[in-house]
Amino acid sequence: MTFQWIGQAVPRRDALGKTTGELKFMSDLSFPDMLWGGILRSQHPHAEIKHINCTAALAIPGVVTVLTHKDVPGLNGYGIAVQDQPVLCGDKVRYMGDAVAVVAAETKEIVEQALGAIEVDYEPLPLVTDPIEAAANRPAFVHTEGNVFRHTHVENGDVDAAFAEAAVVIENTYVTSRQMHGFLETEGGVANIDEEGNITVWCGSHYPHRDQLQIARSLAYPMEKIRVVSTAVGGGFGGKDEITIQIHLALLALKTGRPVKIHLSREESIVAGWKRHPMIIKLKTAAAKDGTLLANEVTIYSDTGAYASLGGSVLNVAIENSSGAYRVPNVRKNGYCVYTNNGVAGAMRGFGDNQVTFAMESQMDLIARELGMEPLEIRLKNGLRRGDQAALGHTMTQSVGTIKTLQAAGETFAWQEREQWKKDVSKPWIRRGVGIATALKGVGLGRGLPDMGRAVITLDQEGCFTVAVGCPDVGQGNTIAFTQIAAEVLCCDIAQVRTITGDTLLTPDSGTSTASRSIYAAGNAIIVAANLMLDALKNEAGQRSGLDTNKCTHEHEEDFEHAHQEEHEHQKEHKHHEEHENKHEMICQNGTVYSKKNPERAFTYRELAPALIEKQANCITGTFTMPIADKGIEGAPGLPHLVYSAITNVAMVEVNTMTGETQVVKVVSIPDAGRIINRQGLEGQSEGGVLMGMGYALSEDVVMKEGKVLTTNLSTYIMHTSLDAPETETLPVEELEESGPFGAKGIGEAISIAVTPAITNAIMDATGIAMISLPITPEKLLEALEKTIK
Amino acid sequence: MDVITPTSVTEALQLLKEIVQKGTQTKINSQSKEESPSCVVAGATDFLVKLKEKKINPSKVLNISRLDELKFVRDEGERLVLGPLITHQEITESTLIRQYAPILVEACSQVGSVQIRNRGTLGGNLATASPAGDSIPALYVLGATLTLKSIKSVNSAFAHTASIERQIPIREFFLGPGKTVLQPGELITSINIPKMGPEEVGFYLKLGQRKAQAISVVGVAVKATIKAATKSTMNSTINSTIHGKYIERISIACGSIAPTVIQLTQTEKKLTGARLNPEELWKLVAGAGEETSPIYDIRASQEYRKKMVGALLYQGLYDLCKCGA
Repeated sequence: MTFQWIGQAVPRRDALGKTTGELKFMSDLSFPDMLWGGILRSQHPHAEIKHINCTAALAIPGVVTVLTHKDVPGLNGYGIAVQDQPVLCGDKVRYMGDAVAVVAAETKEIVEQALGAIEVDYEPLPLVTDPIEAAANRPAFVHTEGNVFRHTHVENGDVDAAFAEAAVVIENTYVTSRQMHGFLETEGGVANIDEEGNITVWCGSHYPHRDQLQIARSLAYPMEKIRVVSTAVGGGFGGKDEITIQIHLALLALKTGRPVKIHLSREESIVAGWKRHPMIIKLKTAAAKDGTLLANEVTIYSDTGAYASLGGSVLNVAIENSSGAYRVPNVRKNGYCVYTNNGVAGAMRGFGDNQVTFAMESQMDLIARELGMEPLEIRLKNGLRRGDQAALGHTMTQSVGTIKTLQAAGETFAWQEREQWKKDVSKPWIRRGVGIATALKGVGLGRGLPDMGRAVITLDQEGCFTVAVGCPDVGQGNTIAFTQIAAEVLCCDIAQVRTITGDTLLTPDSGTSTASRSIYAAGNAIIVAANLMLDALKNEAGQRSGLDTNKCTHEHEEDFEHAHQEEHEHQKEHKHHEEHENKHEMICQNGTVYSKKNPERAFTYRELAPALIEKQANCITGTFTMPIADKGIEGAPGLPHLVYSAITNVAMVEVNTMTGETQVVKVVSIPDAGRIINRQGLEGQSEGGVLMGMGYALSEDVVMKEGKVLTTNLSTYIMHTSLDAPETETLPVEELEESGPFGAKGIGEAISIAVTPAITNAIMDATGIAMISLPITPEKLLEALEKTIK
Repeated sequence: MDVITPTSVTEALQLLKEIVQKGTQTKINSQSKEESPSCVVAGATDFLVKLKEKKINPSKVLNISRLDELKFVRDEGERLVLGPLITHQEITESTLIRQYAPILVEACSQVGSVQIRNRGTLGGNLATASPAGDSIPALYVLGATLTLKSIKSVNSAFAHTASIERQIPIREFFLGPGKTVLQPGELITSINIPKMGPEEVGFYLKLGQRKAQAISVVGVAVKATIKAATKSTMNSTINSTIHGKYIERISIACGSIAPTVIQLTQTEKKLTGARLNPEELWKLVAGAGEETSPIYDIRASQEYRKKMVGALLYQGLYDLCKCGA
């Protein structure tokens, strides 16, 4: 099948503005008469609040308002899963980023002054910093209900019997770091309230429609009077999935009646913002002599910090992926998501998968080494294929690209010529290594969680289309992909389609721009709407040609809420319609409709548009409900996923054995995201994913001591620069997924997951050392090297 | 905060004198807010960060960045004379400096990022007096001297432009982190660098946590004179040509491992006369870190920094061996 727009490197429409800096992010917006807002953060990682005195702050000229917990009109709590995080703390604080008061003042400087003038009396409480201790509610309770927010237990097969007969059992405890999203645009935005009491919050987010709900709940304000605008976002990576400052902004606008802006400094963002869950992962993995995996026993302690947010779901995704992309017939998995006073952890690209894939892929290389197998061989032997039973006991019913990506990796120069390349070192202190790793990542929220995509397509007088989708463009470029999907189905020029995203007033709720889901979910919804739009256009053209297409199209429209419960059912149905319509033979091409009988009389969309507008048939909604696995995993809400994207990475590294430094020379990314919608976009994801995965492997860690952040800015929280970046090659394979739009799955997360263990396995290949704690800093690696030498 | 921008050195010195007479001038590195009534800024790459972090709160700022007469490179025969307002980027692009002081070019090219190198000046790097300043070890081994100028406090009957100059060897300039011998009222007006001779080679190696935007964990500068050995000193059993050379003279300076950049005099002694043989060199430099007294911070431990002194030194010297210097 050939496409006009799908798969093309259609340039993003925001590219120029982002390059020149002219594009306005939400935090760039300013309004006349605007106030500045600020948030008073906790002075202690764990303490009772005895007293808050705002008198002195309020007395400062230029201070307009100072608000505390008493001023929160509605529910003083937020959280995607449970609302355990106070908008403003009243009785106790649980981490250094906890908000105690908010201030609005005429200038930024006065805000600073006012924040400094608020007096808060604290009574420090014992610190909960060790997740394993915390799980036993020692030394204190972070929340009165206990420190274990979720315990997930899954068993399949007979683990103990499998261990007894195994040829090799590898047991290790892996420790992962507290990676941060490191978005360029820190949390920021503006809120305003108009004369009619409508509140608008402009603030970068992964899901403005949910922000709208959370704001309404805390303000006890009608949802329809709250508008949240999110696009354009200056990077998210999951860090703007949960509420950041939206409620504070809305609250200040409501109380002052004026526009208010808050923009966190990098330092405040690091202390207060969400992070990747640090995990302690105990793996005991068994294999037979021929490398067949027999069993995996997994224990995970996931440090969610002071509040739950998505910690429970992150834990379950970790449980799901903790046996890698492999068939493992016998598993026992226990996961604990625990509260501590170590900041807050939430959604981050990969969502629990990165941590366990690092651990399991290290295990795979250790097993291979023990058995004298090649790392690729053992992966091919155990890799999941369609129809296989996955480790949790569910069946992989959809397309699985694991084997294809592994095979493609095996054919790369990086892998084939690795022995020669490793020998070719110029300095005696350099050791080269090549590593491989593979991963799967579920697309969408998983079983048991409502998950829908929606799109509205409007045809205007000019014969052009506006596609409205709720999922914001967090920077990944889904907007242009949505546009391509629409133009492809609508059979028109890409210039005839514009797409708006991320605005609760202008776009329908299409769910989050997270979980690698926006192309899959919203893309499918766009296809539904676009096909209906085509029907309307064909119908109109048919009528003008004197053909009767009326009947079947109408039937279709009335039926559409049901018809789109399952996209693929719809597609079947649609084909059926086409067959049915064949006698009329209306064809859409290049923005025109004509009948095969009379191709000379082609109606342009522009010609047809006024009639459709007249009939109020020019605005069409498409809805797509995410398909789910037929059976759930007991005790693990959200599991399993139905559709998985696959990724294999090959990494080439040089280790300096004198300094412990690791230079990543090259990374090959072999993603299976199903059909590629925008090749350039995929490569962008790949290059960014490699850098993020490399940072996770080698340097990125928000170091905390006694609940306080030591790496307070980007000078000590080490993200790599373009000079550190390896050469990145992206060689996608396309294992088409029939339920996806044009066969597409998702890529945003998978692309960053396997690169970390590919690098750590390359380090193992170079040095013989399995580094079981991230990040592998030069100092840590040198210490390990010195131990092995001695 | 008043920002005063003079247009000539004379005016700048005059203003400085007035400021000093009115109150005590304190340099920007002063830790206490109250103690920083005024300061001199050039590229402001450190100043603005400290201001933002509220580590300083000066009432007066003398902005000397417009003093074009302090932006120059002059070839004065035996030496190069650099104006203190020359930026790191200008240093890396100067043919004269590339030819006669390549170690300084290597050091300056590793400072921060292009943006910082475009703003940050050599004089600023010296006056800021960070033990991690990249240009400083290079200037140590190059044997640079600094010209400091001020206006004499003369009585009003005499010409008010009477200025005094003093020459300070770079090794005597620094007193501690952020502390120099620069007196209130004094400006650095030139950096004087003896040209490297044809037999002199050198390097600056920096260990940072990443390849750009990194503060040195350790920085090592070396300048050495390499001579071909006479037959009598040559060991006939070693057949490689690279072993036929030895270090006649060597100067080593190291950053980020003590309160100021320091010279590794013990290691210099050990290496003087040493043959350019990697195995032998390793024995001589492995313990070089013992001469240093680094701190522990979030970037690295003391032990690691000490080890890295020897490691960097060895890697640089190894390359000199292999280059057949």
